[in-house]
Amino acid sequence: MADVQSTGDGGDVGNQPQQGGVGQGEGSSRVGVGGRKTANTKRVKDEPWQKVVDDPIADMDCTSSCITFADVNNQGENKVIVANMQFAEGKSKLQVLNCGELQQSIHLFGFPCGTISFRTSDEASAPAIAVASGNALYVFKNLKPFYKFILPDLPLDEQELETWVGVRRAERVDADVLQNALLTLRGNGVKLSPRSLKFLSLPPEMREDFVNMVKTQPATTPAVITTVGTLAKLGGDDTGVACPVLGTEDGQVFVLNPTNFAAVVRVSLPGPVACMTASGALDTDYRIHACTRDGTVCHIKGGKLADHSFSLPAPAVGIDRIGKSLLISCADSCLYCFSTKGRRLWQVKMPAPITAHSPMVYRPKMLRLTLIGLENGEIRLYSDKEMLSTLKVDSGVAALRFGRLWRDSYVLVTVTQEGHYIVHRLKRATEFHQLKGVKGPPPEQHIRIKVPTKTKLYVDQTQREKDNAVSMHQAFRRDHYVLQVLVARKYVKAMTSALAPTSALEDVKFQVGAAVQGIGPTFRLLVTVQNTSATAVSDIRLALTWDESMYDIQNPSGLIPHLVPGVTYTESFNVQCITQEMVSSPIKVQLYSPQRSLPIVTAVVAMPVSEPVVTVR
Amino acid sequence: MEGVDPLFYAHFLFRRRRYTEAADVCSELLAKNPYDKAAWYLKTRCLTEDVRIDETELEEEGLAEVMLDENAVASVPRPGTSFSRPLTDSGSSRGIRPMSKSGRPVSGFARPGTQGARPSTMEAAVRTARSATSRPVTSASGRYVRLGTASMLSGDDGTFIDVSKLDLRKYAFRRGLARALVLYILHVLNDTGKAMELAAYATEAARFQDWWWKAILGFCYHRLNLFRDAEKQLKSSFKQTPSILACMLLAKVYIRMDQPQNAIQCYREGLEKFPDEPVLLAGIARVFEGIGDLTKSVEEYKKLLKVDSTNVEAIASLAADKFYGDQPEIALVFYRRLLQMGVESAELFNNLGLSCFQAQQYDMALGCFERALSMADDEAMSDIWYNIAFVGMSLGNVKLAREALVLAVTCDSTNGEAYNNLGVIEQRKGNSGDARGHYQTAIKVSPHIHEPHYNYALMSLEAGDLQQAYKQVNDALQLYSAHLPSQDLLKELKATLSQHAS
Repeated sequence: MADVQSTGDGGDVGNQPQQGGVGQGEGSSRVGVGGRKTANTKRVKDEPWQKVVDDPIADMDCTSSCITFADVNNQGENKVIVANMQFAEGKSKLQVLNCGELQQSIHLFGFPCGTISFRTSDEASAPAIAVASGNALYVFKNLKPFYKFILPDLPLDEQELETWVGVRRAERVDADVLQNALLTLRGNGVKLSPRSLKFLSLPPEMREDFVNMVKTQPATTPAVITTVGTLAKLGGDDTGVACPVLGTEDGQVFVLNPTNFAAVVRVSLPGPVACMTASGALDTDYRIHACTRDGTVCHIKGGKLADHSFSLPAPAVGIDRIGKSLLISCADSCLYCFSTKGRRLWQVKMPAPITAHSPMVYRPKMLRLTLIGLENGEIRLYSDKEMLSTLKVDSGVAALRFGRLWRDSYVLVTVTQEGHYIVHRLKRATEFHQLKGVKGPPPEQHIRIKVPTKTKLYVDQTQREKDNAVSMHQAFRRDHYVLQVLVARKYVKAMTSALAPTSALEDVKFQVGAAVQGIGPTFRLLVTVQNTSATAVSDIRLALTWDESMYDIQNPSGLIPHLVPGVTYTESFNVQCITQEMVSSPIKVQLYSPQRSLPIVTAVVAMPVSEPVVTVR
Repeated sequence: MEGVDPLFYAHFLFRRRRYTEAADVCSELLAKNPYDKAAWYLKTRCLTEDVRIDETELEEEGLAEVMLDENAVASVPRPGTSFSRPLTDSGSSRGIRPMSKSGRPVSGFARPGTQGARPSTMEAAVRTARSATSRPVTSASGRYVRLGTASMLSGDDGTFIDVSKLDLRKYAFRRGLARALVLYILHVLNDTGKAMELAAYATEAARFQDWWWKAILGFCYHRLNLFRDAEKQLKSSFKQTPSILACMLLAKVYIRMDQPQNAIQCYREGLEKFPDEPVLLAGIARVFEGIGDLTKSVEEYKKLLKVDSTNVEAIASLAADKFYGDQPEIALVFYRRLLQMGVESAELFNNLGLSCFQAQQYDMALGCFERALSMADDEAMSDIWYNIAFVGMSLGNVKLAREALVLAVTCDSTNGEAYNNLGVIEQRKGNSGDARGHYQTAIKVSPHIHEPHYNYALMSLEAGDLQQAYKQVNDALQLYSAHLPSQDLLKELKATLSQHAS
């Protein structure tokens, strides 16, 4: 069991911020700068949050579910309870804070995945605090170890069990034989125990020692708790009796009786439980909505898994139920709202990935809001899909929890990814309805764009696409290849005979354009040449090719002595139409370089039909 | 054909539209008896019908008419009241529906007259939608001369009737002969002055009570660009006896005077007398298209299609509307209908391919493009390559897209959209020099599209050339003021510039 550590020892206390506590204004000297404060007074007035604690050396490492509020001493005053993982140091702690001030620190076994506080009975005693870690739920009362609930082990595959029993009986451990046996089992689709997996992941020289170390212990697969929550027993407010709800790695959801910790409900889900929300009360009617790690949302009602489950577009970060809708934040930076039947009602895209999601129940105003923490350090407050306010912290948000400290004092506890511990107080005078729409989406967003409805024809064609997907795709692939070949051939032909007005040569790049002025029979042909390569080119010749029976061109060639990149050079030619027929033929403009035998680029100028010469008598 | 009365035989041939043969038979009769009025009449009709074009619809405005237009009342008309100032916010926006080379939204059906807007500069006037057949200098020297010379060449017996020797006053009293003669003068000889003389005499002879002669007189005035006189005659003709001819001609006069609302009114009056007349319905639809009211235009085309289910123009226009209205599957049905009706052209296959691709019928899309390529001329070829490039870009095959775009500009070096897209591809590849060149070319050859301006501005901004970016983004907004990305860019630029200034 966990051992209790008093406040006095350990390095944690020394790290406390000098200033702190509720109502002291800008908490940390690192933030409060006099000039800036005055400059921001006006803005601060509209802000619903006031920072009261900013402890950059708190060294917190936890998720949203690891923070809770509980009246540990039964004094009518809540404390912030943080199950601090401190993963790097390998020792986790349960910390009790009086807002900013650390009161007590209790060592924990393993790494906690969540902590809850609940009353075990109607008596006016202090509520229990439970920390889920590994396969056990550690329950504390008055911050003293009270009970340890251990989940039953998972059934082990018989063959694997036999293998380990065989190893124990054998005189000498043959690691290779064991490895082959386990690999065969894994190949057959057997879920191996953690011990087998650990064995397989070890380097070969360490395997034998490992087997010798563990072979005397019985092989088990302990269940692992992934998420923890509470469900009211009788309904009413959150001071009443509540049942712990556990979700496990093997997809089980347990609801425990708060008095004797017996599982009253046990449901199997199709995948590991990532997050869940429980609403209603166990004794009357309740719903549990759980997201599995592969993005399926399952409903549990009346102790059974309901039929209608639906899948999410991305793995879930957090889930919350408000009224009839489920608010689910997902890893694709979107906050989705689904109906309980799985119909997507709306979605809001965030500027950065969502890292924390917490419901915000504000009883004085009867509000249910949603807090979203982003990787860029932004904390957004949403009412439905409308953003009410934002906050900015120094680094990415790791955990968020909103709760009550005493009577009317509500705070938002934030832990950042760098371990800072920040507390914001919600200003009592905040008028939420005035915040509404200030930073929300522009009103244009609500104007429906007239999109034509999908026709029956479209549906039919889609059906055809579904029915013949393979053959259609094959035909398309074939056509695509044929087209690619066709285009490549024509392109190569155009390039090798330099028919294109742009060159494909690496070192010399030109663009040639042409324009015709006049209505005939005399035209002026303007040829523009631009050097698009990086270096200047000199000694470029221009020549025209045309149908000599149709046009007469004097000086049909030109010389551009030097071409600077980017500048457009213009050459003009006089073209005389000598035919009386009402026809025209194109004139080709070609660019030559003395170093090359082929023209560099060609531009084809479509000539207009010349107006006839009308003789006036 | 021994034993058959030659005149009857000539009539027989005429009814079967074998005009040349009929004219030959009449010539033989006239050789025997030069005063055979029946043969003379029939031969006149034959020669006329051979070259006649229904001029109630066709309209090609020459350079002189466009640039030296003295009928336009307002130089800056309100939107929707002039063909030169189309409605901007009705139907599809510029961002969705592409522009033809003269800067109008592309129509589903290429017609002379509707392709070119009234340009503001001489240079824009010379450049037309189809560069190979540029705008004629005047309508008089344009089509009429060309047709005239063509008819002269085909008829080797020289001039059949020497009008200058005829006493037109005398003919004006012979009703049947005069009608044939005036059409002959108009269509074969192209001598509008003489035709008007005859029409004037004939109207006088009929004591100003003959609607046909009034309509012809109006037609002659119209040809001579005397629109106010033409309007008077045609109105009077229509009032006396409503006819489709007079109605169509009157509407045409209004269109030439740049009074689209009057033209629509005129068509509507015609439709009251002749309900469900396809020609009039098509006329209304075209005028709406001309003033940019595509929604109403589509409604009229729908009515037209209900009356005439094989009207190619209506089908093609509706198809184009559906395609740009995000319902390519319906456009596909329309294009397939055209194919079933026997229309075979590169443009149709191109449209079929695009519709198939957009409607996700991938197995047929690319085949259509190949078909289109095999039957296209240079102008259409360029557009088909452009569309293939679009398909390539949609597939993420940038190599294919780039090659196809190079081919598009090879076929037609004035394809501004292709240059623009080529520029985008080069810019993404990091060849900013090439990209700049492409954008500049696109701006030069297609001054009506805003995309190259915006792209150039974006590129200049990235390169730090704020002045160029500012200039280009302003140009883009001048072309298309509702272009949101340009507006945003301008805002950003202004912020940056004011930052630099302070």
